[in-house]
Amino acid sequence: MPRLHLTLDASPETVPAAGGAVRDWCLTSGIDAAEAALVELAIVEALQNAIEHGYAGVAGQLELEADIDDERMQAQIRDTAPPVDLTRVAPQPDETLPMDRARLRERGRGLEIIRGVFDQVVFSRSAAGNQLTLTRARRRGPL
Amino acid sequence: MAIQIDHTNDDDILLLAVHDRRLDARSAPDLKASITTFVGIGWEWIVLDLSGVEFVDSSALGAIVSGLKALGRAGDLVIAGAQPPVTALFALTRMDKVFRMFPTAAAAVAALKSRV
Repeated sequence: MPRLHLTLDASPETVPAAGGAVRDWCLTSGIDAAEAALVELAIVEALQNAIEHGYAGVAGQLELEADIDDERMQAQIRDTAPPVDLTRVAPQPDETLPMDRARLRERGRGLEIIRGVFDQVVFSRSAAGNQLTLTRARRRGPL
Repeated sequence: MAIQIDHTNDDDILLLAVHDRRLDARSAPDLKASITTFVGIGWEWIVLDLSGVEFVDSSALGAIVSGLKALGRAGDLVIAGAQPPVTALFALTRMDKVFRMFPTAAAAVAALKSRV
């Protein structure tokens, strides 16, 4: 199975092309269009989080690798920004219960999307930097 | 980044049609400004036609939420023509419980005209 390996500048301008590369890689790897769109969305959210909250306006680079086998697909996103461990962020309460427009959040849904798409989200920190590992089991049938 | 958004109206219903294929962190500020500007000048019943949009991320979704919040308790902002990836985003974030979603702009306008 093909691997994906990208290095990109930590800028919102580089994210769309990276997302497109992820989607194309998914399709080439046999993932259907609906699932590929979800994976693209979640990885875009993870890249954007690293840019906004990790690098926070400071220049830097992101590395994205992904591979796939019959059982699961896995992506790793590496950066050298100050560590932001998304996995320690508690899930947000359901803002739709009760439904009140004034309570709706305008930000902070990226992690919800990542957790919704990937079965496992693991953050690790080493001398080389930060790594977010995202794992999704291969689905059979409807998503 | 400036977005391409057309506006027309049918009586007191404003139809905003987005022509960008991608709504993301780069376009979210402009999307928010566009919607809230229309709310600010008095539009209360708004259809956001996303039929030409293939990708929406959480930043752009936040801009759409801002538009709904700007309405306060008045009117409604509904979504029309969302493609499957966009529908999936709304479902993942439970925003499909917040925004009414219609298959076409015409269906959305008809629903708002009858205030149902």
